[in-house]
Amino acid sequence: MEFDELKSLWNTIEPPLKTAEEVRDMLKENNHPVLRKIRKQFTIEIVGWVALLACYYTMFDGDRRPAAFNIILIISVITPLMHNLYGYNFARYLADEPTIKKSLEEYLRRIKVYMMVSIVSRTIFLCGLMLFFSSAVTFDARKYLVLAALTLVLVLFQTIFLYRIWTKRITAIRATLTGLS
Amino acid sequence: MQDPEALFLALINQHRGIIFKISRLYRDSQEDREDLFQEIVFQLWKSFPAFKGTASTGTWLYRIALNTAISSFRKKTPDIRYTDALPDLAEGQPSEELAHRQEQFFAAMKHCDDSEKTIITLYLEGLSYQQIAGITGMTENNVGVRLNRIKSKIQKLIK
Repeated sequence: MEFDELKSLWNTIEPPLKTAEEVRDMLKENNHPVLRKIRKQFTIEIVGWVALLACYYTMFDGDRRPAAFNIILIISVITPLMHNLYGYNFARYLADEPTIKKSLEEYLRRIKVYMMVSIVSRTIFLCGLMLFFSSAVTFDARKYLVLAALTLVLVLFQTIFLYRIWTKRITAIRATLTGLS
Repeated sequence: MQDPEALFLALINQHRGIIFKISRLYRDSQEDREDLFQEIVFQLWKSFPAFKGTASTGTWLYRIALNTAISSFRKKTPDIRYTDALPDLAEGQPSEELAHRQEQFFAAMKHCDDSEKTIITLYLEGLSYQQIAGITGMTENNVGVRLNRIKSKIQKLIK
């Protein structure tokens, strides 16, 4: 197929009709497909974690643990919620630079920051939970070693898992940037 | 003074064709295409207040639509829906043969990466190498080189 033929074919592609009402609905943030899903996940997590915070003092003997560990648990639970807020803002804002290449470069920079925020916040969450639930244990040297090893394995596993997910995304953007060089 | 929303809706109506084509090109499932269409419209609306006509409407629209298509997250799970009719055929599609050729074209485009889709979209829209370079951020020379490679690739796929 010659390219002039391809151009003609391209011009025959007709879009389905969209009413003004349908398009007007698309302007609302509430109807944004990605943001809607993040809000739903955020709502479920807030409900879950608030329920946990409301009950942990009695259910998990928070009153019998040192105050510092209670504070650690609260910070650990708040961290993924802050991460979700960050993610919401990230999905909402698209880099709008003078060229596609500049926009993608800015997006790449922001996605690397988000990756670090994601990894650090999940690590804080995991370590915080581990610390809280182990605060009632009477430790000896062997138990400290076991806790340290367990924490290290879990943190490593989580970090590698998250890193691989984000790296896949970053690699795709980098490949597109290379293609536009 | 005209209502910005009314102006914007008129603009989208005028250019819904290219937004649809970009959605079709960059996403594989019907649901993903509809989501991308919506996302592009949303991003254009967000950018609309800052668009003061310093660039042409087309340039601004192409830039944001293509950037959204490249940057936005894609779903991993396939969307399987069983319908009686081909979902991508617009109402009043002239012929089955034309629809087949269009499907052939989009099937060939699946073999192109995001940067190739960007360049070929702008070319098929009738933009000059200079205009394509201005929107993408590439040099005019590189646009020419890449476009020739993409053309050869597509022509081999569509015989």
